[in-house]
Formats: sequence, C-alpha cells, structure tokens
Amino acid sequence: MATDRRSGFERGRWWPSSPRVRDGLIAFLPVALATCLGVVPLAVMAYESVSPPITLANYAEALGGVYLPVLGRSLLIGVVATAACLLIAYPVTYWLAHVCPARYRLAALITLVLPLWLNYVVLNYAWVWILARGGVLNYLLVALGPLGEPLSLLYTHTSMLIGFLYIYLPYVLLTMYASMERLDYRLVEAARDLGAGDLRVFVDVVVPRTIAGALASALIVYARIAGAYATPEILGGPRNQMISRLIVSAFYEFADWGFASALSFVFLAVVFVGFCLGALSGSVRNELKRW
Amino acid sequence: MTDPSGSTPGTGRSRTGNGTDDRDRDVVLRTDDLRKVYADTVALDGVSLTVERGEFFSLLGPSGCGKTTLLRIIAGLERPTAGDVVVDGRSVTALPASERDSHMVFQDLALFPHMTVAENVAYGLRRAGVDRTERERRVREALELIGLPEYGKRDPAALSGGQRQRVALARSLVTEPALLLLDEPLSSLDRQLRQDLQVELQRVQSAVGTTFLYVTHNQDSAMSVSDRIAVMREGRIIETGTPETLYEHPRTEFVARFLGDANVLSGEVLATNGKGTTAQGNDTGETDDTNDTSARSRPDNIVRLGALGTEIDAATNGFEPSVGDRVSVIVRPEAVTIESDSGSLGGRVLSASYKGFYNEHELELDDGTVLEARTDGDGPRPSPGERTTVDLERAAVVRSYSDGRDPDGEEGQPGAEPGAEARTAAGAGTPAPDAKAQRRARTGTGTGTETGTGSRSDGD
Repeated sequence: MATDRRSGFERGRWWPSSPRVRDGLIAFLPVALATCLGVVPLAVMAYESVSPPITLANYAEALGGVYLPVLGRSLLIGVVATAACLLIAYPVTYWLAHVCPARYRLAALITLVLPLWLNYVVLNYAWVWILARGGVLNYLLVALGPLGEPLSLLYTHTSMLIGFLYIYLPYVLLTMYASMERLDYRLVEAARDLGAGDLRVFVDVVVPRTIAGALASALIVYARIAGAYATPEILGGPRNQMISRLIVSAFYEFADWGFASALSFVFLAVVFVGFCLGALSGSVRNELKRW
Repeated sequence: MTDPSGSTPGTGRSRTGNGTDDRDRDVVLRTDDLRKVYADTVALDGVSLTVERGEFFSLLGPSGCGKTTLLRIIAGLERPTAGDVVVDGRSVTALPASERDSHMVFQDLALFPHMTVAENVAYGLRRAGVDRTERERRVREALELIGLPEYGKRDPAALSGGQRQRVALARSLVTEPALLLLDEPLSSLDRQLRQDLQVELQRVQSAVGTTFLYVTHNQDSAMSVSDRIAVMREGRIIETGTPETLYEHPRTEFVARFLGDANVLSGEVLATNGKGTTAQGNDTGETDDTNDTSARSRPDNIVRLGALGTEIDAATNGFEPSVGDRVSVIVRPEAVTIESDSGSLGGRVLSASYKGFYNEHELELDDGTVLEARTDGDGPRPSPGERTTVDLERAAVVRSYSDGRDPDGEEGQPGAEPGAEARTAAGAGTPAPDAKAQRRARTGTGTGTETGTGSRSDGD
C-alpha cells in the first residue's frame, strides 16, 4: 500500500501515518483548551475594561485620585515583604547549603517549606489565633511576666507582614536554596584566605554568586504579595487596604465590572513591567526556568 | 638481638629540639604535634614539622594521608583538635584564615568567576587596604611575573587551564605572604602542562623568594620541585629530607617504594662501622644535608650484610642496626649494574626491554631472587636467558617490621605496612620470589612508576 507522503495520509485510511501530523492532531484539543483558559478570560476582561462601547474612562478613573495611593501601598508592601523574605532566606539557605550536615539537610528543608502544603487561608487564620488579644502569644507574654497587659498585634501592618512572610518565605527559600547550593564553597574559603571577614565574604562572594536566585525569587513572590487578597483581609486592618480589596469590591459591591477590570489591568501592567526589567538579565531568566 | 635503644638517639632529639633552635635558623612555619580527629577517623596523628624561610617544601603522600587536612589547618580553614601552628614565631592557631599571613592556591583554583583576572589578583590587596595606584602597580607586576600581562581584563572562564593556574598563583602571591600553600594545584592538568608549570612554579618561587608548602600525591612532582619533602602516611610524617636523601637513603620501606621503584631484599647484619649515631637527618627534618651530594657520595654508616647468599655493604641513615639483626635493604633498579664478567653475583636475565634512554631488565639471581635492573640506553643489553653477573650499588637499609617490632622504636606503624607481602620476596634463603607480587605491592601503594610492564604511570 503506497503512502502519499505529502499529505501524510495513507490511501484509504483516515488516520495519518506521519508522526508530525498525528502528534499535531492529538495535541490540538488540549492546547486549544489551555490557550482559551488563559487568554479568553483576559480578553473578556480587557473588553469589559474599555466598554461601553469603547472608552478609556475606566482607566482614567483607575489612574486618578483615590486609587493610586492604594496601588502604591500595595506595591510598597510587596517590596517590604519581599525584602524581608530575602533577608531571612539568605542566612537560612546559606546555613542549609553550606553549614548544615548533609544528612539533616532534606529534613530541615522540608520543615522549612511545610506551610506550602496547607491552604493559605487556613495559614492566615493560624496567625489570628496566635496574635489575637486573647491569643497564644499574648497569653504567654502576660503569663510569663514581661507584659502587664496584652498587646494589640492583630489587624496591623505587623500582623499582615508576619502573614506574608509566613506564606511566601517557603517559595523564596526553595528558589534561594537552589541558587545557594550552586555557590562554590571554595570561593568563600578563597575570599577568607585572602583576608575577607564574614561581611566582606557575603558582599564580595555570596551575594554576587546568588543575586540571580534572589531576583528570581523576588519576581516569583512580589506580584503575589502585592496582589494578595486573603492575608490583608484576615490579618490586616482597615487602614491596610490593598489593591485586590478594591478590585473585589468593584466587582461585587458595585458590580462595576469595567472599572474592576481596568484596575486589574493597571496592576498587571505595573507588575509586568517590573517582571520584564528583572527578566532582562540572562542569569535571572535561567533561575526562573528552574520553576 | 641486642638492645634496640642503642639505635634510637635520633629519636629524642627530633621532638625536644623542635622549639629551641627556631632562633638559629629562619623558621617561617612550625607545627607542634598537630592532631585532627573527625567523628570516627584520625586525620592527623601528631604532626610536627618545620619549614625554613624561602624553602620549597612538599608534603607527599597517598590520598587520605592527611596532607590536605594539614594544609587547611595551616591555612586556618580548619581547626586542629590539638596542637599548635606557628607562623613567623607567632602562634596563629586561634586566628581565622583571613588574619593569617599565608595564602592558599586551591586544588580547583577557586578563582572568582564574577571578577576579571585583574580583580581576582587585586582581591587580597584590596582586603589588605592597599590604595588604588599601588594596587594597580602590583597587579601589573604580578601579571608580568606569571607571563600574562595582557590578560587583566579577561574573565577567568576565558583562560586555558594553565593560564588559570598562573592567575591563581598570582592572586595568592601578590600580597607577599610569609607562606604560600599549594593544594595539588597541578593535579587536573595533563602531564606535559604539569611539567611546564612545575618549572614555572620553581621560577616564580625563586623570583619572589616566598616559602612554598606544596601538597601532592605525585612523587615526580615533589622530587623535581622540592628543596625538602615530608612523606606522610595515615596522618603522620614518616620521613623528611631532601629528595635525594629520601630517594637514595630512605629509612623506611614505605618511603623507598613511594618515591620510585625498589628491589627489596632482606639480610642479616654481620658488622657495623659504629657511625650510626651521628647519621644525618632525623624525623622532623631538623638537620638533613644542606649539601645533598654528601648523601650519595659518603653515607655515614655502612653495615655489612649477609644477603643473597653473599655479603653486601649497605648504608643506613639515622639508625644503626645491631649485629645479628635482620633488616630490609632496598636497591634502586638503576643501582643494579649488569656486567659481563666482573660482578660479584651470578644470575640469569629473565626479560629485557628497551625504554629509550634506559633499558629495563628482570634478573634472576642464582639463589632465586628476582631483581629489577635499569641500565643506560646505550649500555649493555643482554638478552633473556643469557647468564650475567650483577653488582649492587648504593644499597640502603630500611626499617623492617618483619620481626614484629620497629627497629627505631619511634614512628612507623608495625603491621600496617602495605608492602608486607613483598618484603620477603627477595630474602636470602627465602624461597622463590614472586616478581608479580612485588609489582602488585608497588601498585598497591598507589604510587605509580611501575617497572616490568613497560608502563610508567605518573601517579595521577
């Protein structure tokens, strides 16, 4: 039976014999579905944000007046929380990769990233239980004596930051650990041998050799923190309103879908620009590919 | 067997004399009884050594002998369990690596990949607070010294292996440390490049005059570059001396085998000349011959041995066996001369092979002993089966543990001798020697230079 090579179909059969065509057919539906899942909602939102019928009024409103400070606050909180994550992740992953005995390493790593396996809303409520006026921490502080009366810890910037740290630190730890593990410890020894103290070793060797990992982890968690909804809702106070809160209320409370979509796209654009800036560096791209 | 204490005078001297004569000589490094114990292993078992200013000193030993651990303790990258490191008369044991006046060239070089060649070389100067103009001048000089003046702006990754090697050397030398520590930096290079860089190392060392402490498991490297060598094994220094002394007059069978091929015979001491107590050298390398020609031309102490069914003379170095002792004797293959008629021993040629600048023979003496012999390439080359006569030159008595005790009573470790199976292979009155066993034993020490098979590994 002859094969018409050009079409890839065997004569008299509907099923193609060429592997390329066959693979294309098999892959078509799932790829189309995935693309639709990703693109269609965004497209609908994009359309919604510039209607009715075609107007930029929603964007004008989003970029004007009262909403910009909230957007700015969200981005700032993202910066602070991300920086705090990195500040903790550096010594922890250095210890894990270069000090901790190899046989305890896996156990330590799993313990550190354990929160990843729990629902993040639940994780937030755990901190409510700890930080509340009648919570575990205040009870201990009062019972053990250092404090006369309980502190107001909950619904503050601090409690929100604690929540962000707790939830997003594991991502930073994992990314930084991959980077730290590839830091050649001989370089640390060489710098010490040539007269560098601990701080110099950190600045001259550890940071330059792991900066790509740090940037990559920042890119991964920054947008999620700046756009977080649950943590500010549960642990933050009324003055800690963040951008997602506004978007959600525009959707639900005011049913102003066009405005909510416009706000979302403004946020997306800001984050996307930041992401592109970070991804300009080839070494950061390589770190991101590990995810 | 007479009193073994008669043969130990070198012993006490080496340990007690250690600290006292630093003033007489310009000692740049001294370690006192360093010990390093890991959870379940002893890496260093009491290492005392003294290195003089300007020396090219090598620590030589098979892998796992503790030489790298010793180097890292001297550098300050590891802490000893016990003992003291003294650099320039000052104890540095408590100091971190960054505050010690010694720099290390790492085995894998550890050049900073995120810095240029010039920045790498300048790093130690920056940390020492040298100002910019002075720094640039010294970096330039260092790059010229290693023959890479144009390479300052390149990345280390853009250099060849040999060039990186030189940059690592320059980076560690540029601050003019009292002591340069080299941890097998040449081991990753191919043979030709390694030999070139050995020459380079010596040239640089004599140009800057810095003391080099060089760790290697390659006896060829150590022999060709060093002023003195300390041979290590199982966390101890077995012997210290000039390459020539260690090669020609090793005091232990381990050293004899580690530094090259050796025929090991056993014999019984018939007479001594009584000069053993003044012999040169001792364990910590305190004295050694400063003019090494003496080692070859006039070994102090000659004993007459009954061996191979006849009598031979052998030199001893640092200890004196008593009449009646059974001892091991080593004879280098090149010290076995094959003559047509005048030799004192009779034998038969088992095999002969041409190696270019030398010939290699396997001889079977009339009593069954098998010897390896090496002659000049243009010398006599009897064919297999031919009868010949043989003379042994420069035989050297080495410590033998065959009677279950260490004749010098000091350092070796009886029972742990890897060459044990071959020791009696050529003994007088011992039955048929097994040349293969000898060879096996030699390879077993991990040292290379194997004769008889025609291959000459360079131990790497």
